Amino acid sequence: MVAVQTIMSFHAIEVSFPLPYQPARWKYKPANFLAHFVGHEGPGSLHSYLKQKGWLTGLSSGPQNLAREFAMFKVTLHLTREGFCESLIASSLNKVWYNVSLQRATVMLSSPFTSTCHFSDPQSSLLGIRRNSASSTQQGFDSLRNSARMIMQFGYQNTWRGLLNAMPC
Amino acid sequence: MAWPVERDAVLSSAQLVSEWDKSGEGEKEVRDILNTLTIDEGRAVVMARPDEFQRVFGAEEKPLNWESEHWYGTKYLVERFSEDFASRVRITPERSVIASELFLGSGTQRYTGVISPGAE
Repeated sequence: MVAVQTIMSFHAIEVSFPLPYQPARWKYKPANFLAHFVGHEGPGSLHSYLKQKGWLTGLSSGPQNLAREFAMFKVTLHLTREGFCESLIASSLNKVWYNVSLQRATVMLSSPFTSTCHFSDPQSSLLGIRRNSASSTQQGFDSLRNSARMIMQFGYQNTWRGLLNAMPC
Repeated sequence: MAWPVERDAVLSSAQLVSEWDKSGEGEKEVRDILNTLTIDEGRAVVMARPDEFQRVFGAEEKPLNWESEHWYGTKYLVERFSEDFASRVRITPERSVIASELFLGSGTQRYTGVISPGAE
């Protein structure tokens, strides 16, 4: 564990793991796939659990290409002041690895993104309410420009199965 | 193009994700990554203002031993996780006693890592 002093007043934990070069895995994008589940904010999720405890203000997860042939998978937790104490930091870290181990022990579906879209739909609605109005408005305008009317709200969030099958979930 | 993609996927490869086929290649790529997300291969960086570190970790009889990063002088310290903590993290979900508020799935189809009696 590395502790780093900041100038800005915030509390955060960043858990990172080395990854193989991701562009070579462009077809299935496994790191993005995992990031969706680790960063998921619905019931049962890491985010939901820590936030209900009052320890968390935000969670993000995703791959980051650092150099050619080298990337990292990062999970960043922004903590409340109450969540920033020795035992709770250890507990939060424990839950990050627990979430990963749950996924490791789960049988994965053969059509992940079909189920992912269905799974994330209610949460997407919640996210729509939670987002700040400025970014929602900007994304709304972008959606108007690029998306069909029926998928305007979720067009920029969901991933479609393919060009020939581009229907909303 | 920096990405090693097929010619007909040059425009779409950054956005589209292929569905997993029977070759099992898609799932294998995900599982390969999952198998590396362990405490033995990962690193945690904890960030906060100095007074917050003092509040949480500091003690007058045992001051924190900060080092300075070479270029910007940022104060940091490195500490290994205790073996006790690492062994608790390494435990598989089936043997874990972590709260049932953490689960995968939704509704009645929840996976908490605990296999209920009679379930396959």
